[in-house]
Amino acid sequence: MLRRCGRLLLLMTACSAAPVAGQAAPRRLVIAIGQTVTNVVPTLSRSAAAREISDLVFLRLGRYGGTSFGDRAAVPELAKGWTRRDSVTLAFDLDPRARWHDGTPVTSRDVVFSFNRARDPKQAVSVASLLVDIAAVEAEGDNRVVIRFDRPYGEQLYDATYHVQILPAHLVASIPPDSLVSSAFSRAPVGSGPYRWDKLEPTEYLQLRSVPGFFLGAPAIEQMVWRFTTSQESRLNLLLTGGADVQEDIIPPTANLSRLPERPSLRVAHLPSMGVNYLLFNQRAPADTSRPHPILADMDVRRALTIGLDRATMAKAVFGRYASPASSPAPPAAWFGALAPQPVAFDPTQAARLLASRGWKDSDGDGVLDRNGIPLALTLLVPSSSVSRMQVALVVQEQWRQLGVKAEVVPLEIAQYLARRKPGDFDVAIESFTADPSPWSLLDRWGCGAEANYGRYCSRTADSLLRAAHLARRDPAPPIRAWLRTVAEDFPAAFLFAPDKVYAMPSGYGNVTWQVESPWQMVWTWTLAGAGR
Amino acid sequence: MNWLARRALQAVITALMALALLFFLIRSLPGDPLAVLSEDRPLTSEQVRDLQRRYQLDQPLGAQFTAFMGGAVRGDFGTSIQYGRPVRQLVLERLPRTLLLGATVLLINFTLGLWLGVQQALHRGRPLDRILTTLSLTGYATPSFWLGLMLVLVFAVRLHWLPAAGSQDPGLDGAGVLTVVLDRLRHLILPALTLAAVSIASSMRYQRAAMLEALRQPYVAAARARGLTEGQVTWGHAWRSALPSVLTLFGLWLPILVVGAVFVEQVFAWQGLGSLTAGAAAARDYPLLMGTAVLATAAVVTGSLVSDVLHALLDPRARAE
Repeated sequence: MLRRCGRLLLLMTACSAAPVAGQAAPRRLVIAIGQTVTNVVPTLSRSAAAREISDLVFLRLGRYGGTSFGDRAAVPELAKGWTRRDSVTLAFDLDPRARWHDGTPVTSRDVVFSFNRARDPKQAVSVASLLVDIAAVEAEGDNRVVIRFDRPYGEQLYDATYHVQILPAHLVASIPPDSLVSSAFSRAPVGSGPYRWDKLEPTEYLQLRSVPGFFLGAPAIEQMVWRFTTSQESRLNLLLTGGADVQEDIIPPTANLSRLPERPSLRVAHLPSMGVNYLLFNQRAPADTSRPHPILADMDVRRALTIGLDRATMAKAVFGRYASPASSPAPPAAWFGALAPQPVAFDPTQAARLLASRGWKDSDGDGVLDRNGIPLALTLLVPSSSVSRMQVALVVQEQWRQLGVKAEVVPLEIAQYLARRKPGDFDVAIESFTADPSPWSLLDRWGCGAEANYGRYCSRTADSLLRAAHLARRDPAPPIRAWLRTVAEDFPAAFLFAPDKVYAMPSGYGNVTWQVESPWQMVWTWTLAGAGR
Repeated sequence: MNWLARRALQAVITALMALALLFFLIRSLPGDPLAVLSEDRPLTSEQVRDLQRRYQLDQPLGAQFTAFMGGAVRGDFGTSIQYGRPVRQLVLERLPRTLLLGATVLLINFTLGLWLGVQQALHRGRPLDRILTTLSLTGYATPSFWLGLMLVLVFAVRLHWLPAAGSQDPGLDGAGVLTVVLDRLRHLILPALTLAAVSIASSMRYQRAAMLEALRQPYVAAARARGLTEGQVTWGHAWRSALPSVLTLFGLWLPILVVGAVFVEQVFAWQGLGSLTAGAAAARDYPLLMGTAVLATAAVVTGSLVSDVLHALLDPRARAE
C-alpha cells in the first residue's frame, strides 16, 4: 500500500513538474511576495507591490533620476527629452517609438488625459494632492506636451514625472471613472512598459510577459511572475523548493538567512530602502489632545528616552547587518538622507541624568521613576502583524526598564492600531514610514497640523525651512539640512534605523540594477548569464 | 414533508438571527474600517466623508443593516474596503479552493475516519484499538500549523516530493488537462493531510462509540444467531444503526471547513476563505467580513439541515420528534 502511494506521488511529481511538451522552458523570474495584487492600474491600488508591478506595465514621462530637485530629476522614458520654456513651463517631447501594448502609438492626448485624471481627487485620491502646483497640461500636436505650474519651484520636473503614469486614453477615456476598477481594462490592462499583462490567477500569482519590441530595449527575462504568499515561512519554503526564485523581505527574522545554503544557487541582494522605523512620541495628552502630554511634552524626557536606547544593537538584533542608523525622518536611501545629522549616541548615563534633572526619581523603590506621584509609565502601541516592530517593542521595553521607565507593550490588529493612532490615543507608537523621494513629502508627517502628524509635533521654524527648500530654485540643501537638524534636535520621535530591502535570489543575472523607490523598475535591463529557468 | 418545511423555516430564521447578531457584533469591534486606506498616505477629511458615504458608514446602524440585508437578498454584499472590489467577486475567487480542500478533508474523515472507527469498535481493547486511539488523539492534540510545517519540511523542502505552498504552479500555460489536474492534486495533498490528521479523531471516536453501542443491541445478536456473516452483521446492521449519530458531525464540520482552516491556509499559502476572513477581520473590512459571515452562516445552517435530513431518512423516529 505504502509503496503504491509512493509510486503515485513520484508519478504525479514527474508529470506536473515536467515542462510542457514542445515548449522550451521560459526564462522567467518568480518572486514570492507577501501581498496579494489584483489591480495594477495606476491609482487604483494602494499596495506597494501593486505599484512596483505597475511600474513595469505603465511608464511615466520620465523615470526618477536620483534627486527630486532641478531639471535632472528624471531620466527619459516616454518623453525622449524636455525643455524649460520659462520658470513655470516645461515642454516634453514624446518618444515617437513609444507604443501601447496593443500597437497604438503613445500620443500627447494620452498624457493630457492621464494628468487630468490624476489631478482629479475623485479619481485619484492619493495622487491629486501631490499635483496641486500644476496649473495646466496641454498638448501641442501629437508628440509634445506642455505642463504649466502655478509658481516657480525646484521640484517641477519631479512632480511632472514621478507621480503620474501614463494611461491609454483610447482605451480608458470611455470608461466611467467609477467603473474603471471593475472594467475589462482593469482585468487586462494595456500599458506601454517593458512588460505587458499576461495573466492573473486571483490570489495565486500575477504574470507579466516581456514586450519584445519595447522601444527602449527588449527585456532578457521573458516572464515576471509574482506569487502571493502572505506567510513569511511559506515564502521561504517556496524559495528553498524552487517554487520561487526570489523572496522579498527575507528578514526579519535573520535566522532565515542561515537556511539559504539549502539551495546553493541563492545569494542575498540588498538595497537601502526608503523606510525609516521610529518610536513616535505623542506630544499631546491621549485623553485630551488640547492639553500637552503629561510626560512626553518635555523635550528633555524625549531626548532621554532616545539616547537611552541602544539602537545599533537593536537594529542588529532585528535586521542583522541589513539596517543603517537613522537620526531624522530622512531615509538614508533618499538623496536628502545624506544631509541628515549624525545619530545621537547611546548614552544611558546621560539619559538617567536628564530624567533626574527633570524631577523623575524612583521615590518608592519600585524600579519605576516617578514625579509628583505620577510614574514614568508609557504605553507602547505596536501593530501585531509586523514581526520586526513586535521585536523592536520588546527590546525597547527592556532597555527603558533599565532606565526606570515602564513601557507597556500594546500589540493591536492593524485597523485598531491605526484607529488609535489617528486621534492620538497613545503615548508612544512604533512606526515605519516609507517616504517618497521628495523631502516635501515629509511635511505630511511632521508639519504643524498635517493630516498624518499623529504625534502632534509642531515647529513653525521647521515648517518654514521645509517650505523654503520646496521653493528653492537653486540649491535646496541648506534649508533641508537645517530642517533635518531642527527636527532631530526636537526629538519628536526616537529615530531608530532604516532597514534595507533584502532579497534572496539566484546568482547569474548580469547588469542587476535596482531602483530604491521601485526595486523592479529596471529588471528589463537585466541580462541572463546562465540564470533563468 | 411538513417536517422538512418546518425544519427549513427554522433554518432560515436561525440564519437571519445569526446574521443580525454578527452584523452588530462586528460593528461593535474597536477599529476604524477606513484606517487601512490611510496607512500610507493620509486622507483628507473630505475624502474620508466621501468614503463614508460610499460605504454607507455615515448612516445609522439600523439603516446600514437594512441596506445590508437588502443587498444580501440580491446576492450583493457591497464592495470590500480593503480591496476596492465587489465582495461577491472576492468570495467566489476563493470559494473553489476552500471547497476543494474542505471536501477532500470531509471525504477522508467520513470514509477513512468512519472505517477506522468501526475497526476500533470491532477490536475494542485490543492492540489495534489502542494504537489507533493513540494515533488519532496525537493528531487531534497536534497544532495544525506545526504539523503542516513539519510535513512541508519533510515532503517539500527535504524530499522535494510535493510543493511547499500554493494551490497551483505558475507556468503551466498550455499544459494538458492531466498535467493541470495532477498539479492541483500535488498541491492538495499536504494541506488536506494536515487538516485530516488533526480532525479525523472526532469522526473515529464518534463512530467507535456509536458502533460499540450498536454492537450491544439485541438485533445484532439476533442477526448473528440467524447465521449472517460478520461482515453483514457489522455493515448491514450495526453500522447502519450507528450512522445517524455520526452524521451530526457532518453538520458541525461543514462550517469549520469553510472558514476555519486559517492556520493551514497560512502555512500552505492556500488562498481560501479562512485567510480572507482573517484578513477582513484584522482590517475591519465590514462588507467583506459580512460577506464571508453570510457564507459561514449558510454553511452552519445547511450543514445542520443536511445532517438532520439524513438523520431523518435513516431513522424515521427523528421525524416524529
